[in-house]
Amino acid sequence: MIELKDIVIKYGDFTAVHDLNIQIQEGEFFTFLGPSGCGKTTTLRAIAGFEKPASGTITAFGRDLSGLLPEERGLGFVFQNYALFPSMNVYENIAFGLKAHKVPKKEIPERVQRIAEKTGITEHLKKKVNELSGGQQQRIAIARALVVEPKILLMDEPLSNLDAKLRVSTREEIRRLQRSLGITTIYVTHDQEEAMAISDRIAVFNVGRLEQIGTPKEIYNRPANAAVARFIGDINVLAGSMDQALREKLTCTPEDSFFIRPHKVTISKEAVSGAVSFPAVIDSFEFLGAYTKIIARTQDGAQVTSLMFGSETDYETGEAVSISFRPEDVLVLKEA
Amino acid sequence: MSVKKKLSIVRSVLMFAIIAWFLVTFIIVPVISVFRTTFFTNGSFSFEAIQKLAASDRVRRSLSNTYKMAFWTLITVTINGMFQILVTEYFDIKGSKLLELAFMTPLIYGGISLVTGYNYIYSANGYITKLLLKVFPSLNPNWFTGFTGVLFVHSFAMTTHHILFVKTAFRDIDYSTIEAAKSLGASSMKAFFKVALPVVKPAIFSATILLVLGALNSFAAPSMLGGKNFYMINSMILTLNGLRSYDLSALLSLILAVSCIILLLVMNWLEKKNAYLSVSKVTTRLRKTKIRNPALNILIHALAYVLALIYLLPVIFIVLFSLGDVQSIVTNTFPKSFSLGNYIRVFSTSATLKPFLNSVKLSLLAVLMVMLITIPSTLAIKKHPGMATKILEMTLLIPWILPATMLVVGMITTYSEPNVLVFGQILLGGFWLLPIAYTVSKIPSSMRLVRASLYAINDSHEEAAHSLGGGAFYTFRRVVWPVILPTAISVGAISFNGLLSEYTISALLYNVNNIPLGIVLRSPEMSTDPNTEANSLVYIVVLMIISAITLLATQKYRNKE
Amino acid sequence: MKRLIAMLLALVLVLGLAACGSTAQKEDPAPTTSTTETPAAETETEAAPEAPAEAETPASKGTLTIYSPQADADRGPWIEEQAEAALGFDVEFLCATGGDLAERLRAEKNNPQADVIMGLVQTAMYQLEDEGLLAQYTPSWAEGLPEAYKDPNGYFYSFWQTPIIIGYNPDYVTNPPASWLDLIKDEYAGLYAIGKTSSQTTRSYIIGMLWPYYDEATGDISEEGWDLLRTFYANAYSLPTDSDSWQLFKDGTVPMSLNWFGGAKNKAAAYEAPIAYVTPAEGTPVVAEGIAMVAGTDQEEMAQAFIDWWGSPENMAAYANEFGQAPAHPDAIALCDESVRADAEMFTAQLIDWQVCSRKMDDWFVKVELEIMP
Repeated sequence: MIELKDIVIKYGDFTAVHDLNIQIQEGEFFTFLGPSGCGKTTTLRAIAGFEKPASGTITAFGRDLSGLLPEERGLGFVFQNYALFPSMNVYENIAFGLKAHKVPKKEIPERVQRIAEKTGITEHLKKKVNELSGGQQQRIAIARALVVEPKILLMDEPLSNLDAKLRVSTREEIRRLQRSLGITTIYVTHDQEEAMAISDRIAVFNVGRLEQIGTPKEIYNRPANAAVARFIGDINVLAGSMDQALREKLTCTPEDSFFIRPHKVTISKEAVSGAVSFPAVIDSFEFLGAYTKIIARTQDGAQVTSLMFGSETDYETGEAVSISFRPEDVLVLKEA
Repeated sequence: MSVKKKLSIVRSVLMFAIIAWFLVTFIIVPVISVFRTTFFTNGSFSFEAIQKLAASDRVRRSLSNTYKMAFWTLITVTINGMFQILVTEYFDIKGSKLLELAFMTPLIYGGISLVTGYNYIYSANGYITKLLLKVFPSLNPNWFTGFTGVLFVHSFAMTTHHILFVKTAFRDIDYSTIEAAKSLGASSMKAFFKVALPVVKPAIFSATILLVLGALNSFAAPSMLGGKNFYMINSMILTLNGLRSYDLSALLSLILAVSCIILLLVMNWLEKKNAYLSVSKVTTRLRKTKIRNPALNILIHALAYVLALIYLLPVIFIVLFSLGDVQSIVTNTFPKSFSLGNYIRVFSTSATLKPFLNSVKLSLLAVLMVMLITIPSTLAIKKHPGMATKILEMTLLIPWILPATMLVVGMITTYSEPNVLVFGQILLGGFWLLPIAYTVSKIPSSMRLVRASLYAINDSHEEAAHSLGGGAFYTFRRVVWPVILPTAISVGAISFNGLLSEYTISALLYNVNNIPLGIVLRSPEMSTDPNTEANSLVYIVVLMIISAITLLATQKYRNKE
Repeated sequence: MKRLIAMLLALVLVLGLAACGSTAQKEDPAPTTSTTETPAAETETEAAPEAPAEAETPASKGTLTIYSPQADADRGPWIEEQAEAALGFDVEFLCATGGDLAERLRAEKNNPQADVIMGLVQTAMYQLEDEGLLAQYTPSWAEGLPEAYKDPNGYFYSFWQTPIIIGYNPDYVTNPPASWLDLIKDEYAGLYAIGKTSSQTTRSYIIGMLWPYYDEATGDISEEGWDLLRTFYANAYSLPTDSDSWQLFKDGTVPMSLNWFGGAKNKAAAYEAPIAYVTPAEGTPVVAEGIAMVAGTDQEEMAQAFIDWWGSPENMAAYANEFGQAPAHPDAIALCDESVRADAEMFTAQLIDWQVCSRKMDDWFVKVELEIMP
């Protein structure tokens, strides 16, 4: 188990991370998610020992890491740019950690071979690192971090330098590898879809603060506040007349706002019974195969996006329609 | 062909015609001339020189001394250089800015003036040696002579130039690789030696070539500190030249040249073998590491400050003594009072002031000519690989492997009478031969550095500029020039400083109208006038000031590198 | 474009080689000029070289250009002032070490810049004479000048004398050597240092020590002489640099100085060190500085006027009294102050045929450099 307790990280006068408390379970795939500059990478680097928290403690499996140097923490770290050693070939890169840990010389080739098989890079061992593609370099970076069998693997945006297709396949592989090794993993990303796909639990960061911790489902369906809701998936803010109407219908405080996911919004020619409906006109209509994306505007100008699956209806821009949704699908959230 | 294009070709042809003329006239012809007069003195080739040299124990010893010195200089400078990079770039050391300044002092005074300065305080009568003798009575008061003295000067003075460009490479290291090494269990030291250093190996290699060439060709230190039992090959060459044994001195320079060529070939081969590129597209800036072990921390701090003191003391003492009275300067006792008297004396006489102005003028001219030759040539070499540019490149590198003295001797023999190549003029005795020789001596190192910066330009940038309709000149001005300008200015500043107190070339070529500083600096050694020793301290201090100003003025360009 | 450059380069290269070939053929073998690395050479003449204030047109009418190592910051202005007052025309000096000036004359053979060369020692003057760089002229003061100070061929005449001496610190050397040849004795091991062979002073005493072993039959030095020199070198102190030597002389580390007389005297005074001199019975090498007209000068009359004035006993005595240098001319010595006279008469000159030496010494010193020195 890893525990971050009351962590504060400062750069001079600037506080990068405020009072952070997180507990991560053994074997868990845990993701720090947030926009850039939110403190997620800083926190990860503090766990690795690259940053020194101004206050607070970090413990891992009952061991206080605070006084330890990075090299004494026994954590695997995968860097955003992979940070492969350019002066060494693939084999030497992977063997580096084993040598640093004074693993007996005889064992090294065997262990390198084993991790290479697991990560599927056996054929590249003799190559120089600059002869490899980004995806291959990425695997080597992971292999290099894993070969020393760390109890915890830290990954800092490992997929951000890959193209979209490769990102998807690589993240699946990372997940598979993590499951098979059962290694506790802390993963940093700014890509919410990636986070949802890969994580057991997610911690959402925003401007140096932790907003919410939860499973992907919890975070999507029950975001703790407006910031989380906005960051995780697309969402409509229900403004103007819709806001007024909902304020009467739902229990809420004056600071609350109303949100709804696009797939919970129905656009139809007639108002739908059993739902709240508002008259609107079509702003744009895109048929995207499996679903249709419609943007409609209420009379007072508030826009609402709807994703509708299997809808056969075509709409013209400017056509009068109804926006309908069920009140129980509305998220009542405070602005953070 | 458009008129514009024709014009641009005419311009290029004209420019390269002038460059080719310069190189043929002042490099190729003088070299040929030296060898002609050497081996064909009496109309036929003779092996007499070889026999004479082979019979001499002293020549053999000078050769072995030279190689030994080059080897040990390589070792000590490498150690010193690594240490300096560790304490100024890698570890978090208190006052590292001050340390860096101290380590850079050899940039503001080189050659004769540096050795004079070091000798002034480290020699048997030097202030520091006297102090040390009080603390360690068993110290040999003559420790600063012979092999140890020369190696001492080499180890400190040469390191600065050696690591200048290693340092810039070091600053480009991707810091996350060091963090990666640490997260894999490597200590800070291990990360430095196993991960960081190998990455700058190419830079170290090129710097090492320059270093070993410098050590092989060393002149000021061995001739001033060597004494009876330690002499190096370049001093032998100059002595034999002075005795007008041109055959012997040329043969020795040939041996020196061959040594240098072998060294270059070996280094080039090693460099190729170790070539690799950084893989990280995004690099993280280097951050300094704290030394956690308190004992080690204190030790490294102490070592760093002692090292800085070794660099700073000569500068401090020269400045202090230059402000002292003549009697203190002569007897090397700490001055009781300080005044600007020595400075006023030097600067109120036009005879003592003029050499400064001469040296500044000559060095500026030379640096300008170096740039006018190297920049277009390097561009041509890069853009049009082929026979012609290969020859051009080789020619530009000649002054690197042949001792400067030899080239100058060649120039003297060629241009002491009217010559077609210089339109029937007699150059010797005129103003221009000296700045031209300065220029030739500074071409190779400048070219190497300008070329390095040029290769950093992405071809696609140039192509993009071309495709957007930029002419060759426009492309040069907007794309190429901004990239090489920092290097050019930085290299120019360092060359300028080096030339200010140049001695070897100056001694052969100066005349009434252009007596340079190096000559004035070297001549008062045994004068009967007690003021001369004070004057030479003033000269050194003013040299330091001029050089420091030059470096500061070009600072912002160097930082861009 | 690339091809154009290539062709151009090739063309210039060919032209260059052709030009080089033709000049090399024209070249006569003698004037190969080169370096004399004489940093601390010219002890007697050493000082900051002075660039004459306005020397842009050295050969313009009414100006006499003189190459001289004596015209340093100390003495140059005095000489210039006196000369211009006495002669009524401008004189300009180029001051450098004797070796450099000789090289310059050789280099400028085809384009002489100097009208008078003044203050080089006999051997250097003989070499210049042999190379045809001097013009014959017999000055007005040649009469009464001892034969030792006259060039038998009439090219140059010496105007003052500089004994090369062994000076010692009497506080530390209680049993001084009686002659130069005594220095090889064990008791003097490490007590003296030998200067660089490029120095005029060093050359002079080495020639002085070798000369007794000169064999007229072979025209060379006997093996015995070389062995002696080898011991002389082996016995010497390893002195790293010249600038410290007087401190070492004072504190007794190297209490003997092989030097030129005036230099030793002044330096010892500057360092407040006691000094005494060895006066060998067989004499000590005495270097004499000469003056001559440069071949090809376009200011012949002015050059002759200057030479006549410079060497005249009156001027020599005035100079000697001002700077403590000993004149060569007996009439001039007679006009000098008591102290200068005493110095001038302290040493006897060793008999050396400097003309023979001037022809042989390059070879001798190459041998010294290659085979004798440790």
